[in-house]
Amino acid sequence: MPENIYEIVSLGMRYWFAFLGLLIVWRAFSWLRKDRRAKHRRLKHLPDAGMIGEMAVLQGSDELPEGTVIPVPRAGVLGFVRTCDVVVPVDGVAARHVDFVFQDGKGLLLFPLRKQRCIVDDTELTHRSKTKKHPMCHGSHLQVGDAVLRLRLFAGLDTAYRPTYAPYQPEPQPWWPEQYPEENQPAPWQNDPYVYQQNPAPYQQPANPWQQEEQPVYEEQPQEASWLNPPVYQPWQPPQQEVFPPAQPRQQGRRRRRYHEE
Amino acid sequence: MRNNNQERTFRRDPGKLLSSAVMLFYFSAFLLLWLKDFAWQAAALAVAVPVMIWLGVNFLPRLFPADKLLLSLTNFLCALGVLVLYATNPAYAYQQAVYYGVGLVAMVVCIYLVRVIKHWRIPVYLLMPVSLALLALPLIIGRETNGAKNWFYVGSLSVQPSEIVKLSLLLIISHFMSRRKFLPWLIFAVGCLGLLMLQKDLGTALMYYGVTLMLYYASSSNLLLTGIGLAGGAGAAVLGYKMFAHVKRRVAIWQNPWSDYDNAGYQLVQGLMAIASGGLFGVGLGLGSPRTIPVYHTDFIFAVICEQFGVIFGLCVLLMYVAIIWRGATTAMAARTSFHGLLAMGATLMIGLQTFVIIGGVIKLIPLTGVTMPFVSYGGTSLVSSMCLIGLLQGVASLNEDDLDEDTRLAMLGSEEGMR
Repeated sequence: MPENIYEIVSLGMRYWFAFLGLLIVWRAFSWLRKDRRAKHRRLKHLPDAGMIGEMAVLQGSDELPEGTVIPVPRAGVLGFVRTCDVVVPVDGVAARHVDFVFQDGKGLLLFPLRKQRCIVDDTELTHRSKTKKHPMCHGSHLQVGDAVLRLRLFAGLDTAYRPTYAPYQPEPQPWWPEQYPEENQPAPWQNDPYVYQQNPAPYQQPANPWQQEEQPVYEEQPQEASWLNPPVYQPWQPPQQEVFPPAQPRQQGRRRRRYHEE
Repeated sequence: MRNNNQERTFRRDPGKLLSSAVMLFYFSAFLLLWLKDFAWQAAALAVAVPVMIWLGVNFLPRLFPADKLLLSLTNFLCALGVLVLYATNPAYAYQQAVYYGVGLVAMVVCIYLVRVIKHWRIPVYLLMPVSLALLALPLIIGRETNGAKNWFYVGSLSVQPSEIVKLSLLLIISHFMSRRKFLPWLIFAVGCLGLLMLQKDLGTALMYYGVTLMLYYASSSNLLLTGIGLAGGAGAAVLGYKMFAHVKRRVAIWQNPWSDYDNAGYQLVQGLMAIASGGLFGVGLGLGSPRTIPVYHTDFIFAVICEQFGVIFGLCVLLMYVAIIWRGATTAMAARTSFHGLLAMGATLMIGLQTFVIIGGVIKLIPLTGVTMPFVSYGGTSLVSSMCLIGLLQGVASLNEDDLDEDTRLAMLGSEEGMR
């Protein structure tokens, strides 16, 4: 093609190229925006996306009260600093205490960092332990520092078959209940069916909205004695003797610490 | 009416118009170049490049859940390199087209590696000595080019090992940072930086340093140590300025390129004049005099693009890089493991920083350093390594999609059990 004609064509085509360039950029950014919205919509329906389960706090601290549920990602680190994936602000927990990763077919594998230790279902793990032999499964207990956590995995995850760890049972009550009255109270999580109980809470019949409210019963108030209302004669009775419990031997030595107090 | 609109929106593939526009762009551009001298190569490229883009965007996502947007933009930029090189020097364009094909294969390999390899411990420990040895090779058998000794030659093939090592740098840093192991990656990064300083390849050293520091901050959120690292980098930059004569010269040219416009500042002045002469819409494809710019095919290819297509198109190219970086950052944040997150973030940072360093140098925003413009500049090693970076990103993105599908499955399973 002659040079002058090519020059004219090329000069004309540059607007076409600029238009196509702008079109490509516009489509790319609108695609980015659409994808962001679509992903946001999808994640809205999947609040647990990226998580494999949750840790229920059986024993924590003021900052992490019992009954709190912490979501657990597929892999991460557990510690007390807020940059960790699972934050456990409890005494005895290091800034970065233990690495964890969920492995299909096994469960949640824990790798304590150097100088750290943790207890998984009564098995103590350190950074030298063969931790792959002790994966956490659904219902496993984890003790890090002063915290006791229980793992709840979501349905459908592939883990090794392992009987779940027996739920926490308080030690037998002392012979004389009033001796340690604070221990006779149930732990806060024991009344929480969501956190602790394996079986669902017993069925309770819902209230009938059409049922009429019970009318209050007005008891007859005793009237003062008067000549119209003479007092009823009560025969005199001797005062009852106070019954004292039999003397019991006191428990010797320091009392044993409970599991949840360690 | 609303339902019809919704259905139409649902049916419409968001990438169809984008990939159609990209294919149309290259078809018309190569057709225009064919009209210039009726060379059959231009006609062949007018067919081959759109077909390659169509295959890349439509065929690859059938093998794995690849990100079509990333594929489209990457293909556009790679093909833009081939187009501009064909318009300026066709011999470079043929080689670049071959490297483009090799890069596509390398990208697929990287995607599969990220998807298949679950444990990176052994590969990473193998990569460390191999990478350091590769970086040391130019010091032994390399030749000095433009003040830096960062190339070595195997027969007729020239290799820039720093382009290959940046992939292993990302893998090694991501692996050890995700494991919270401080020393191994620090030793490796310092070793790489030391070797690059010995090669006087300061542009690449700047990229390595910047990416390492930003990844460290992303993984640890430790502002104090990041600040110390930043201060150390500033100190090293001052030291480099005092030690190397060519660094002093480049800073002086950056401050005032017109002071020595016919000697040291010639390249930068020619680049600036090319951008200015292009104006808003350019001088026209195949016109102008881009070959007057020294190394127009590698470092200054952005100036050539601006001259031929105009500043508006140059801004569009910049926005495409921004879109790639945006997509990469989104992919990194959606990753499920810290290793994959850091890997995606590292790849994104590497592309972003390299683009900033070279385009900033060409438009006189920062001192000029000798790095290539990702995907566009001529150079096999650079193109293949950039495609590998996109492959790593695509691998993480496809894993994210798999994980999201798994989450959906688990959620459905949970809701079914709840219904029972």
